[in-house]
Amino acid sequence: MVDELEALYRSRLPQFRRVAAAIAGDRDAGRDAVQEAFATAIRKRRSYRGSGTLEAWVWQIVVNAARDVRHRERPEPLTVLDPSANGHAPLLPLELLTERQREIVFLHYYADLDYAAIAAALAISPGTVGATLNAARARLRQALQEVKT
Amino acid sequence: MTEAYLDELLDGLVPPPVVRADWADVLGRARRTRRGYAIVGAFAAALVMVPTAVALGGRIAGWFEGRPAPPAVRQDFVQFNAAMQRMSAYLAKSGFARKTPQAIAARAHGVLALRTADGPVYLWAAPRRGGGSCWLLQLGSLTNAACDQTWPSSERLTFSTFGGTLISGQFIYGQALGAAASVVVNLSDGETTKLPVVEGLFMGAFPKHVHPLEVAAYDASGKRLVAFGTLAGGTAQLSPAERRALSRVSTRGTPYPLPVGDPFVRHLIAGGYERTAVLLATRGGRNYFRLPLTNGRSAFGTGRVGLASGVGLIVGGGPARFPAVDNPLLDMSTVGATANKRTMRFLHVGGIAADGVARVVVKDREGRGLLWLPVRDNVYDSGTTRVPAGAVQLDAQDAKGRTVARVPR
Repeated sequence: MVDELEALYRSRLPQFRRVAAAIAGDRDAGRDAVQEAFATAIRKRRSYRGSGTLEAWVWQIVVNAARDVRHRERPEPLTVLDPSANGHAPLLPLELLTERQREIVFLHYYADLDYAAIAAALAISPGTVGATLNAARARLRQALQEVKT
Repeated sequence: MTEAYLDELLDGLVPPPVVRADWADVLGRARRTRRGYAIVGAFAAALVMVPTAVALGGRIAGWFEGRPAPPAVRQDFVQFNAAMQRMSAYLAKSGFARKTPQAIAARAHGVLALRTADGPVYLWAAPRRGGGSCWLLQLGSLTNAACDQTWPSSERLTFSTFGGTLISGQFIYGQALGAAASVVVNLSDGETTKLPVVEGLFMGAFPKHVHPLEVAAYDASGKRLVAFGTLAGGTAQLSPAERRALSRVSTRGTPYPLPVGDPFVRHLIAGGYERTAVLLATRGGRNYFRLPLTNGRSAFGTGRVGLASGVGLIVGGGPARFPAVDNPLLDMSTVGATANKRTMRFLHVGGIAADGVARVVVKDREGRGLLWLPVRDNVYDSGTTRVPAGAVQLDAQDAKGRTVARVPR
């Protein structure tokens, strides 16, 4: 099981890091969240029942770890994630989205997960994922149109 | 607005990270959390242990010094030699004739040991072929080796710090030659640590969030022999004029109207940027800008000459204010992996520096200067000069040669 976790970690690390950084609001915090999440997965590996995919189970842990960091550190919304490495000031008004909407957007765009995988990671139904994602896109589109006009 | 455009904006929000897999850290955390309370206590104990060991007359080294190194450590020295030979070959191919040091691995032996939360840390030494010595810091499977920079050494005190994501604290280790009997490290949190010098080597531990401001060697009578200092975070010793110089960017530059037809620029403007940037300088095919914001503040940016949006990378606006006396360098360098994809290093060096920064020195892991970049018009850039392999650190120096900032910190 630890070998499978390591294989997952090595194959999907950029996606885990990117989503965690987006949720945590900080690149370093995201990195830390992923490391902690995998450490948690190793410790709790016997609680994995095999009812879903191992990846979905790990995504749940990663998202929770990143949420914990965000709630603990409470960064300002739309803070530049890492100005020295990233540079582009975020222009998307993500603060208009709910936490659930943001997480689904991040998992969809940054990890390229399909609805079923996102649903498993967030313990919600695939239908809810689709509806939430559509609502989030609509909100962002509307906000950006408002900015442009 | 298309989905593709939304993709583009999301991409810019959190660009794909450059990641280095760190499974050893995951395993370490998995183990640590099981005994989390013990870790905190143990590391605190380690911090206390260093000065205590000196107070006890170097007991920390007594049981370890001279102990023959186990085969694994000797093998680490052999691998270090091989790495040095590869570097030598590479340098020769690049037109630099330089003989790299070789350790006599068979004569490797213990010098100092330190107990920390991450486990015992050992400092091993081996004679250097042709004179001098090499040393190797070992923490579990992590090792970091070096030799005298030159021999006979003109430097009486050299040191490196060793930290990173795999361990919970940091270590300082180095060489103090001549009559040095102890080394005193002044840390940025105000603490001072005195370390014993054994076989010309010293080692100590300190927390992750601090860095050394000054490292000084003393002889047995307490006479100060030599000291190296960095001012980063410890700028109280600067004069008011020097402090002011590190807190301003005075190049006036030239107005640079941003191409408002470019989608990225449109969103910059929508996000609070002025339509006209200030071009500070062009170096090595890159433009360096000050980007005024409508709220009166400024960000800084860079972009390759000819880039449609003019500016491609914007920095500033984060929690660390620039320019400031403790933050006089806004680095925009490109960092990447070396050919073997295992070690991160600077590939291109460039950025904006406050008035008080005279040059930026590109250094290798051992603190050796590889490239000296003058700061002109508040800009430094390696241009078309190839950044040498092994470039992992930048030191910003003032006109007196004092290091006033370091990247990474």
